[in-house]
Amino acid sequence: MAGRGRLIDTQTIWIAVHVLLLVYWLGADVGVFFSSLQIIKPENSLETRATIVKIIGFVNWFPNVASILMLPVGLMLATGRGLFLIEGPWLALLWTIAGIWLLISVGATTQRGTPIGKTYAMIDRWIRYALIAVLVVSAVVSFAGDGPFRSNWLALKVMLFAYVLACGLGLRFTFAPLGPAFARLMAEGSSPEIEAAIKRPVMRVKPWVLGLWAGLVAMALIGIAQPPI
Amino acid sequence: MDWQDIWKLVHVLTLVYWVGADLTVFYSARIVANPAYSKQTRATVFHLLGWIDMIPRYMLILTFPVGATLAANLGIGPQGGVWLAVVWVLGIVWLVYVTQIYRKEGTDVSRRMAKIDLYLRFLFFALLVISAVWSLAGDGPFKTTWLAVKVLLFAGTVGCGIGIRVTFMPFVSAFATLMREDSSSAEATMKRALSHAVPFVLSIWILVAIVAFIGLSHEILFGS
Repeated sequence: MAGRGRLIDTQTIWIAVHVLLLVYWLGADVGVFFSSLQIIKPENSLETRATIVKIIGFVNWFPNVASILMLPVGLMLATGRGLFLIEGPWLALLWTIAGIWLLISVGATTQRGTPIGKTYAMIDRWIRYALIAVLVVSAVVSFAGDGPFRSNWLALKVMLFAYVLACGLGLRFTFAPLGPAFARLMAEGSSPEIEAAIKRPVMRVKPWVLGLWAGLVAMALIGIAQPPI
Repeated sequence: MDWQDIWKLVHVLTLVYWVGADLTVFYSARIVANPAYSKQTRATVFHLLGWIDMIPRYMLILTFPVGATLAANLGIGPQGGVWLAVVWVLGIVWLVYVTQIYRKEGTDVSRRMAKIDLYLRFLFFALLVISAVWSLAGDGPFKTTWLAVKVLLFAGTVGCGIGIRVTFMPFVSAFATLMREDSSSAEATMKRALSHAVPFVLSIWILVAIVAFIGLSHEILFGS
């Protein structure tokens, strides 16, 4: 193995970062999920529910950031292993794009509700559409033997990452009505109609969340086993 | 893909849910200790925190039998099905025990059980340290240096967990007082307990990150 005998090589660091990103994505998500179930309880006061939203807002930063950093970090690992076609200065470009995406995504969260925040959110969404398309095409071409990924297990992981991104989008669309409904709850107080409008997205988001988690676990298993498929 | 890969995945997932879920617990505890929020909010967040905190608790208990299974399969941990069976049975019994402490929370039985749990953790800590040091000296149950170092650092996380329990005890009783009556001394006790627990929490996160790092890269770090 390259680097054996040296105390630390860069590949070691990338693997650790890759795993820690999973920790802060999948592990933190569990806190977000269970906290969200508290928002829908009408017996909780408005202040309590607003506080839970605040907790979710804080914890959700971790999956948000980790999910964006996961791909470039994974690709660095793949490059180190000689499994990814892109090398050298192209990697710098990759990181620049990831950095810009991260800034846009952070802007979409910190500026939520403002016109610029909406623009950021729209750009973020389109980046995700484009990325899903690029990842699926490059994985399929790699399976056919001529793509950027030089092993099938890696191409499969890339395909699954596209699936996870799609689940993330499904989650966003399902969750979108929650914000306005919650704002109405804060302004008008509880009513059966508003409670139903809050409960609906929280319940409907479950399949997307579980699908996303399953995708991440499957990706972790493929990364660990690296099966010769 | 074989069983060893599945065990590795489970081992990684115990790390994921341990540290990842801890984030919510850590942030929520600050809200519980903040008098700017109403009692109902603080009580609800405390309840939520207690629930989510069960995840890291389970993971700390589970990560050891899973790791022991991995080590046995690699031939670098204690060998033999009997030994592994004992570790698993003890782990599962402890898991059930910890669940019962949570389910009976607020009762005298739960408090007594929690006290025994604390003593068990001291015992677990001692056993881990002794077996790791013995292995490092060359004759213990763990056959490679990296694994013995991992076990030693894991003992550190168990020790920090004991530290959190001890420093957090006044928090729980002060919170119970606060639910009955307004008390500035209870507020102060909670804040103090929380700040005393913070170094242990941060230490666990750092130790767990190092343990994971060693597990992932022992070939490069230790050459084996």
